[in-house]
Amino acid sequence: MKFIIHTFLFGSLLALGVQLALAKDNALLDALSAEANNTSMKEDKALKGLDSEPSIVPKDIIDYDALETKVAQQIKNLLKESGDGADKEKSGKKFADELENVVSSALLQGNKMDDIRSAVTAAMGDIKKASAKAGDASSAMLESAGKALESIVAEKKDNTIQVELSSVVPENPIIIANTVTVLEGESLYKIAQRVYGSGNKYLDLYKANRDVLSSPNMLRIGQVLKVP
Amino acid sequence: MKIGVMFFRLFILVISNGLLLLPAASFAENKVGITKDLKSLEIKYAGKTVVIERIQDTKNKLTNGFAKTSRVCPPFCIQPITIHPDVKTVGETELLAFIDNEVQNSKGLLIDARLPDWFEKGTIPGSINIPFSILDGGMENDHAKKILKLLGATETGDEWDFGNVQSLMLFCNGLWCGQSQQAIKNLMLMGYPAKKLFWYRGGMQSWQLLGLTVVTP
Repeated sequence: MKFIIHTFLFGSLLALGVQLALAKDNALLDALSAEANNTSMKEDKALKGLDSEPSIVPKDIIDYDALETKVAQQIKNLLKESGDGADKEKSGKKFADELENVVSSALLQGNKMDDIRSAVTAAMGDIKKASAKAGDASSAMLESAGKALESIVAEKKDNTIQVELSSVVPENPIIIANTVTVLEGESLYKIAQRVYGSGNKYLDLYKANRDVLSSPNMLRIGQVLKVP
Repeated sequence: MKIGVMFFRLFILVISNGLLLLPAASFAENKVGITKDLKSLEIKYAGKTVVIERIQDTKNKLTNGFAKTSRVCPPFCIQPITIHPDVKTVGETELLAFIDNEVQNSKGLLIDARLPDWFEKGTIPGSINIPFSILDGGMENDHAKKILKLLGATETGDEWDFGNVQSLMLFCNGLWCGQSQQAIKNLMLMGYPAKKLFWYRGGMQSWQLLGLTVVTP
């Protein structure tokens, strides 16, 4: 009698052990199939296809060479795409800043037009040298920078004459940057509306304050922004 | 004077290339904003313009697999908030700022660390797919090494230089998914600087729970 009970108990334990071992081995599979059986929820059409489980596919199913090529292509495309814009933006900003600096400092020092011209010419030389290294993207930029320069020089000329006539330091919104303080609940758009009367000029504000704004929507109450 | 200012602005406008978002651009349309000031974010992705915004139906509910509360753990276990002291865990607004500042300016990559079939079913706009498993094995894995080079690392002899690598923000299926965490772990094992790694813990689950735009690449 005792023997029979012992055999029975041992047998049960063995069966349980085997079950547990199997369960452990197939834990992942079980989890996945259980989840699959459990997807009886009504699907949202907009999100259709996102309802299955994040299965862990056996690695040998994936063609890693093809995958690698795909990753490479994605990165290349992305960098190329945004790279163009970024380079342009960066070099364009640099040109604009350099030109402004040259002209502004010349003006502030009360130099004659000829001095301004020669300073600008020298600066253009430097910019040309620098941009030759930067490559193709810069040449178009250089051209527009040149055009911008012409108009700035022409404009400064008028200003200089005014200065000479009135002997007063001209009020120049580019040189003397005004500032604006961010009020509660204001977006760049609203500030632009307040400052310029047109919200569409928010971009000017953002551009001028990129050093303190990580993105146009990251404003802090009380933050002081430059107004270009 | 005015010509100069105009030119300067035109210049800035032209070069900015329409990449930037406008906090109030779609103010009138979107009553479900992203933040108080940000209603939507327009980005360039795969040559197309994509607007990231939230589903505007205020009665919308998740009804797909991401509405589930109880996946079997293991393997689908709840992840910690910090995976390494130097790897920043981020939320949706940081992710959007990352796309706007880093990804759009070639300084960073948003990485969907899930397997390709998942990526193709739907992902966060602006992301690329580097499945976590391609990084398994670290430096023993030639694929992983090539990925490192694609990310800006350089190899001289046995020395690796990570000085010019991209900032990476990784995500996978959500709070209960360990794939992006594993990818980050493998990247760090290979020497990728932790400070250049960011982790969007919420993943596709949180992204969809907030009704944010999902794209099929």
